[in-house]
Amino acid sequence: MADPGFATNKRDPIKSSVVNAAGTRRRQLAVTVGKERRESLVRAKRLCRVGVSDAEVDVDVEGEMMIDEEQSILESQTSLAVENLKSALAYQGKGAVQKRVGALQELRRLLSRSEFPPVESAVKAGAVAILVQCLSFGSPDEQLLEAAWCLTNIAAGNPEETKALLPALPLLIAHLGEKSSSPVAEQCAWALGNVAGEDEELRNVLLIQGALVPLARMMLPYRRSTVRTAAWALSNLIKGPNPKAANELIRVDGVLDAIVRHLTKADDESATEVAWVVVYLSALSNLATSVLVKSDVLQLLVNRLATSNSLQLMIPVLRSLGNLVAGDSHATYAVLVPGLEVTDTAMQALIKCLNSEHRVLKKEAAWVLSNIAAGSIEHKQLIYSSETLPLLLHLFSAAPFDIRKEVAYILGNICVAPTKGDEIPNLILEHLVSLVEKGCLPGFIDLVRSADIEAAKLGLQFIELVLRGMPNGKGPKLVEQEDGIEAMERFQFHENEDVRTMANSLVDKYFGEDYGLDE
Amino acid sequence: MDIFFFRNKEGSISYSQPPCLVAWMLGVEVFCPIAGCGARLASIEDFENHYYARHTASCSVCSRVYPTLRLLSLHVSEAHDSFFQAKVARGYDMYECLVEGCGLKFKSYKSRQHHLVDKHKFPTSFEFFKKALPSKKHRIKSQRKKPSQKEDTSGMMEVENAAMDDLVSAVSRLNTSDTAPSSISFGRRNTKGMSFVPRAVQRGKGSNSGSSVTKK
Repeated sequence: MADPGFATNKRDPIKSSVVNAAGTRRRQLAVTVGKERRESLVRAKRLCRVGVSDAEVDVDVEGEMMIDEEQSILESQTSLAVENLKSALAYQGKGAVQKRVGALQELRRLLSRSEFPPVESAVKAGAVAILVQCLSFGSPDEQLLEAAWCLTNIAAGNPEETKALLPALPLLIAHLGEKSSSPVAEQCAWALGNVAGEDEELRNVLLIQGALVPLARMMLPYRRSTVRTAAWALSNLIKGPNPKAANELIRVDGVLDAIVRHLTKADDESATEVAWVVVYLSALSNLATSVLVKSDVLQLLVNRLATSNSLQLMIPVLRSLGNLVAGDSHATYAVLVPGLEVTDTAMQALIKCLNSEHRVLKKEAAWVLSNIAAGSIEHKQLIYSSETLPLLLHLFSAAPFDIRKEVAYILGNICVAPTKGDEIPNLILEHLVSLVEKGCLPGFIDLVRSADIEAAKLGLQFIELVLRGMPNGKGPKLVEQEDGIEAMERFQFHENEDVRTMANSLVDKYFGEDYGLDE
Repeated sequence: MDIFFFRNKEGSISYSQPPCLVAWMLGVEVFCPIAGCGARLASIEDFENHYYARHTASCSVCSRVYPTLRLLSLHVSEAHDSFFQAKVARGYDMYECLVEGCGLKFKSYKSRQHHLVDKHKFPTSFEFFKKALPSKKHRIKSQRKKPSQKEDTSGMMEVENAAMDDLVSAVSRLNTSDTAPSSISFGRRNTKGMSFVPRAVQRGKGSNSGSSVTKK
C-alpha cells in the first residue's frame, strides 16, 4: 500500500494539499519541539542536594539545614575545604580513609547545602584534579560516592565549570560498570548527565569515550533511583541534534525491553525519564521509530496518557506519541486502527489533553490528531464523528494562535481524502460542508491574515477547498462574505512566492472578471 | 548454620554461605565479614551491593578492584600474565582499547594510551592502569614510622591495604615491565594470570630508591 506518510515527506508542500503539508511538517516539529528552550533549561542540569544512597549515611542533623552564609564566607570555606582535601589525600597513615572521606563530605556539604553553591571557588582551588584522584579504582565506596557527588554539583554550574570536569570523565564512565555499587554508579551517572546536558560538544566527548552503553545498561535493572537517574542522563546524552547516539541506543541489547517494562510498571518519575528517552529516540532516529512502533510502546504510551494526571509525565508521553505517529505510518495504519480499543483509549486521552488547562498539552494533542487525520478515510471519519469535533471548533475560534494553527491542520485534513501521488486531493464533501456550516471559515481566513507564512498557506488551502467544493457554487460567495477576497489580495505583491502564487491564482480563478455578473 | 572461609587455589576468599544470609545474622546494620574489609553497610541491600562489587570483582593476585569485569580482565592480563608479556615481546597487538566497543589493539601500553587521548579524547594525564610501582611510603604496618610528606608523583591513589601492596611490589618486580622479562622463568604458561606468587619472594632485594622505609 502506498505510504503517504513517507511519500509526502519529500513533496513540495506548496503545490500539495493540506494532507501532504501536514506530512512534511512532522519531522521538523518533532525535533524543534524537543528543543523548546524553557524545558531544556530545566531538564539539562540537576543539582544533587540529597544523596542517592538507600540509607541516610550522613546523619547530620545540623547539616540537614541549608547553609546560610554570606557568599564570600562560603567561598573561602570552600577553598579551605579543597586544601584540606589535598592534605588528606597526601596523608597515608592510620585512618587515612576516614580523613579523606571526612574532607570530601565537608566539600560536598558546601556544594550541596548552600543556595548558590560555591562552584567557582571549588574549581579555582583545583578541586577537580583532587576529586579525580579520589575516583581511582579500588577506592572505598564512600569515597567514590562523595567524590562523584562533588563533581555532580560542580558540573551543574555554568558552562566553564561543567567543562572543567573533562579530566574526570573516563573515570566517571568506568564507575558506571556492572561491578560498581549501585549508589556509586548512580552518582556517577548523575554527574555525567549534567555534563551531557551542557552542550553538543561535551556530548560528543562522552560518546567517544564510550558512555552510552554503560549508561544504557543502567536502565535495565529494577532499582528505582538507578533507572530514573540513568534514563535522565541518557536522555541528555542522546538529544543530539546528531542522531548517531539515538541510533546506537536502540541497538543496545535489552534497551527496548527495559523501555517497555518501565513504561508498563514504573512509578511516575521513572516513567517520565524513560519517556524522555523515547522522545529523543523517536525524534532523531528512524530506526528507533520503526522499532518502537512495532513494539508495545505505542499502546503503553496511550495507556499512560489516558490514566496519568501528572503534567511532568504527560508531556514526554504525548510528545513521544506524536513523534511516533508522525514518524512512521505503521502507527496509524497498523496500531491506532479505528475500531480498536487502543484507538478509543487514545482518543479519550487526546480529548483529555485538549481539555487541559496546559497549553503545551492542548497544542501537542492537536498536533497528534493532525497526523492521525492525515491517515485513512476511516481515521478522518473517526475524528469527524467523535466528541473531539466540537472541542476542536471551539479551540479554533478561541484558543491562542499556535493552537489554532494545529487545529487548522486537523480540520483541513478531515476534509480531504488520502492521495496516492502528486494529484490534487479529492474532497470529503460531507465533512467540508458540515465544517463550513459550523462556522470554521472565518478562522481560516484569519490565518490568512496572520504574519505566519505557514498559517497563511493553510488558510489559503482551505479556502481553495471551499471555493472548489462547496455545492451549487456557493463557495466564492461564502468566502467573499467573510472578507476572504480582501485577505487574499494582501498577498498580491507579497515577497513569498508560494503564497503570492496561491493567493493570486485563487483570486484570478474564482473572483475574475466574470464574478458577480450573474447577480 | 556454620560459616567458614576457605581459600580456593587462586587465593581468593569464598563463603560457604550466601552473603545475604550472613548479613542478616549480623543484624540490621551490617559489617562486611570479609577479612580485611570491615566496611559498614546500612542495610542488607547495601551489603549485597557492596559484596558483589567489592568481593567478586577483585583481582585475585593483587586484590585490586575494578568497576567492570572487562577492566578487571584487562588488568589481570596486562599486570599479571607473563604469557601476555611474552606475546607483547613478540610484537603482537595485545593492549586493548579501554573503551568498550572500540575493538582496537595496540603493541604497547603507551601506544594504547596515545590512542585513548587521540581518538577518545581522554585527558593526557590519564592512567587507568598504573604500573604497579609500589608506593614509596607504604610498607608493612609494623615498620611504618611516619607518613611521608611526598605526594605520589603519578597522581593516582594507592589502595589502602598495606599487605596488598607487598604482593603488588612482589609481582611487579617479576613481570610488569614493557620489556620481556628475560631473567625470569615461570615454568608454566598461565592463561589469564592467576599465578599466586609466594610471599617469600618479596624480601631482601632492596626497595625502590628513595624509599623512606627502614627495616627493623
